[in-house]
Amino acid sequence: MSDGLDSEYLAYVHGRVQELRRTAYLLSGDRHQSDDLVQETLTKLYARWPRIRGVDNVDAYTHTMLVRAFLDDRRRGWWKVRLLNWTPEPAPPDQGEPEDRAVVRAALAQLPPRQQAVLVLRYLCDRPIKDVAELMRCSEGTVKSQTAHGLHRLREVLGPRFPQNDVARSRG
Amino acid sequence: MNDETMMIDDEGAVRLLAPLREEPDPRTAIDVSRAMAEGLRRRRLRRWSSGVAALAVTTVTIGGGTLAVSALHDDPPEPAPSPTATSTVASAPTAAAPAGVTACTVTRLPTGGVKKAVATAGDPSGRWAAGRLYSTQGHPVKTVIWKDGAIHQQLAMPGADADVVDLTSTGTGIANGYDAGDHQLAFRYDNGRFTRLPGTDVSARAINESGVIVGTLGTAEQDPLPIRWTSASAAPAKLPLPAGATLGSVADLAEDGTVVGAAGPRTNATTGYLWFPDGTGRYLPLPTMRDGKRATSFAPDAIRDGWVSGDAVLETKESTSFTPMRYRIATGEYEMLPSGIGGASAVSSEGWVAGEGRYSGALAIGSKLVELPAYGAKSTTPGAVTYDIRAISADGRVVIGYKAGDNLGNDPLRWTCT
Repeated sequence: MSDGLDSEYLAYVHGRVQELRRTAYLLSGDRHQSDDLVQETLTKLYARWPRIRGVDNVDAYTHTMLVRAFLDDRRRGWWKVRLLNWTPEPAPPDQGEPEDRAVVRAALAQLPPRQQAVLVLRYLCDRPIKDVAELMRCSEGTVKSQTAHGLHRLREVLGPRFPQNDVARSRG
Repeated sequence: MNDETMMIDDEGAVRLLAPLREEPDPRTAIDVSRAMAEGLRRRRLRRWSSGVAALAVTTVTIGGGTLAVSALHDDPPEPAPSPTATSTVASAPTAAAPAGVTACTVTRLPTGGVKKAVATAGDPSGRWAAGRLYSTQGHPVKTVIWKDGAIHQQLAMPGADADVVDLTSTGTGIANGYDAGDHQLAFRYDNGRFTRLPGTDVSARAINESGVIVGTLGTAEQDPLPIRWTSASAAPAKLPLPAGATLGSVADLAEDGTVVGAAGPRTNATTGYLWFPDGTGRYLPLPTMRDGKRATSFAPDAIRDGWVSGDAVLETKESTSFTPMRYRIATGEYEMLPSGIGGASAVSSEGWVAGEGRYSGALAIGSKLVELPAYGAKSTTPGAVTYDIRAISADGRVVIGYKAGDNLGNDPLRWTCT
């Protein structure tokens, strides 16, 4: 078979799969879903490998496919089935620890999918705005506005006890 | 834009999301070989739905009637699959039923209640099969050995991401897995136990009834080299490469010791090669694609009793296309398989080729096509559901493989034909 192609693909996957898993996990917050996202991304990558192995930035291409798979899944809504199994209700405004992973994750999940992706890519994957724009196939301006809207909404969902800024945090 | 940036408290945002900053669990269900199988299937799906498929409409197929290839559309919802399904091979108007095959039945190999499982290997007698039982609720993935369609053994996998890849008629086999350092290791399976084969960064590909094992040496970053273990305890020896070739790999091993694989001067320039038991070898000739163009390479998949099955490959800058073929070593002649079989995964002693079909597995007997029955509801879109065919028995009556649906579910399957 196209042994050469296959070994190139395998070499690429072995070098990148951990990074893909990490991004998928940060995006979805769910081990099973992140495995599914990476599995789907690697499948698409193999299906297209003869064409795309020569492109300038295979990495960006692959991560774009991963983000796309995440957005598609969120839009289809089946992830809710899974989240419902374990996600606690967001904490009532006046009690609970907002730092708690599950609470922040549940709050994030209430955002529109693109805002979720922008926040995760920027603040958990530490990607610069330019990268995020490339991965999301949108302008840097859109990344900035989605970030602003997403953060605003996230803070709304988390409630007033959550520190709004440095001043609030120093009070808490 | 700058104003907008100023409004965003990046540091605060990092802190807000910090509780989510975690590394993924080291356990993973990601299966690269399945991604490759499914990815290959999608490459072919494009072929079913493009020009080549038009040829299929004019082909009379046995059991399936006329194949109308329509535009891609969604499958109707699947009803619960029945445990077995039968397709009767009816005589088509212009073609007699292939000698000896009157009906084929599909059975889901038992999985002990595990929903997701695959069958990855079979043996020449058709009695044995092996595969994986995927985890449920955090339990590790297990290797499973089936005998006569029943679970014979369940055992821990030898290393991570392991697969049994071939079996003999006495139920011994070979498997590959990865160690903690991500080195690929090969194993022999015998009577409930895995024993490591000598060598590191090696993968075993095939074992014959004499216990000879062939495989490939090299990490994913290195050029592969074809190797042979004359027994499970012997160090692997490199198979000689033809002049000018610097790399090669093994696809399968015949009972007489003939090895089929590929060799070439560099990555992306390999083509089919035969290593004969007397130490000589030769390239397979380049076949002609279905559309009449000369293939750029031949990629063999299997060998048995003088037959080789595989794909004629035409690789261009834009695309890679495949035409499944059988090749007779004695005559040096290729035969194109009938339309309706998308791959040439395994070959019987009579040269029957088993591979993926449009809606299930398929069997090419001479110039005739037998569509193996689908498990569960038959898809209406060619290639929409993957059937990964892994083995055919020497007599051609038993085919082993698995179905992979859209929901990431898998069913290990065994077809028997009478």
